[in-house]
Amino acid sequence: MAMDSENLVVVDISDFRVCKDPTQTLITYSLGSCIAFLLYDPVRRIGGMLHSVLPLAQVSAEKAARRPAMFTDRGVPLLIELMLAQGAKKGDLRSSVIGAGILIGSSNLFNIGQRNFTALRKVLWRNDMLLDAEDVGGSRSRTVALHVGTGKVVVRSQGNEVELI
Amino acid sequence: MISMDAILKRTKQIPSLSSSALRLAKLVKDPDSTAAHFEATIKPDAALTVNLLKIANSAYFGFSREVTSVKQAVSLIGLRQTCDFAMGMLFGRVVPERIPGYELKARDFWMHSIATGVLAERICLDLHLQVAEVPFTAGLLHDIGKLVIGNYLAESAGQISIRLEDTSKDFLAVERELLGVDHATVGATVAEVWHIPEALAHVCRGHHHPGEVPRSPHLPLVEAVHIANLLAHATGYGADVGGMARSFDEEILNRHGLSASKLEEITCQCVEKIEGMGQALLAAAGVKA
Repeated sequence: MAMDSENLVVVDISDFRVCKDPTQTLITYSLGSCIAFLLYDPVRRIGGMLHSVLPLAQVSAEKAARRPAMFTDRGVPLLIELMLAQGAKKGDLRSSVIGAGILIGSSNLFNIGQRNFTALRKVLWRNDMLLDAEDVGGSRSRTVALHVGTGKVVVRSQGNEVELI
Repeated sequence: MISMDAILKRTKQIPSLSSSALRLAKLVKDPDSTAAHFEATIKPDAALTVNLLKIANSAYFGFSREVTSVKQAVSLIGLRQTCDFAMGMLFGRVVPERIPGYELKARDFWMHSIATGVLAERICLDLHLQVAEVPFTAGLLHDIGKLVIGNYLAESAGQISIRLEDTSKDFLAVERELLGVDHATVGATVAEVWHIPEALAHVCRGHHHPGEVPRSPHLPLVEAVHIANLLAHATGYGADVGGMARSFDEEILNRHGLSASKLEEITCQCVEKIEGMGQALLAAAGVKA
């Protein structure tokens, strides 16, 4: 499976990566309320992954300037921009989102996951994009891998692996 | 179901927190403590001294000249921070390579503990909570019960995900169903056996459900670690088999005036410190990713 590959490119928390090497697999671990936003151009075989933590950059201008990928509303446009700069075509992009988990009994107070998902949808709306696949919510934590050669997205959660795309 | 005798027996079998850690916990609360006192406590432990110097010379601090003694490290990074790193190193010694049952590697368990410590510190600071122990230490040690009951939980591994399909149930309730006890209660027992301060035993017992702990002056610290633990899970530090199946006490958030944006601000202010401290400690201790 993609996650056992030795050719893994790890996307750390508050970071994003774009990869054009078809032998590589982008992976990010332990998504709780955070989200992994994935873009893939199947024609040119270019993959991108963001692991953002918080929905809105307005919480800290200083952090937003230094680590924009910490925030969904800043990280998502940056990933789109970087994918296009690397040669991807917007019309060919497939997008997916994984994570945005919630704690039991979450209300408006403790709903970072839901707020991350909402922030993502707003950014996609502004960029005239739709989600092709999602595995969000619930109280599971998730690890996700995107195989750059095939565009296959695999989600691992509580011992089970599922192919999302 | 596990008997209390079995828990006590197992607690005595696992490595316990060193006496240096207990001395440091006392020293850091003493306003008369000096760098020399710290050096005298740390220096007899050669491995700890070496690791602390590795950390003081790491990229996390980025000092332009080499730090060559504990005393110098204390003067450069401060008593409190030196103590936090020393506690982190000493705690790391009691963490096994894998914690069965919870499906946790040492690195992940350690990172969760560090994250909870850093977040608890920030919460206490931001909410101006008066607490009897160092919040970082309280966060660091809150899950020690897992070290004792992990082997027992592993015997029921197949049952955990089945029971968590009932999405109204939290992971602690599943532990109680399967073992008759949970890691929070066991953690308080471990704290007593290890002779760590009473406030920290309260934190171990109450970090999931602070309302279940008898009212005491330690409640603010218990509540701070409760919130910190949830934020650590939300940010994905140390996800175990229970995932995010943790419940929270909304009344505590309301009482402390914690809005959604305030919780996000606290998280935002802590992420880089968690990463930096975690990487410095793990690298110094040679823990594998």
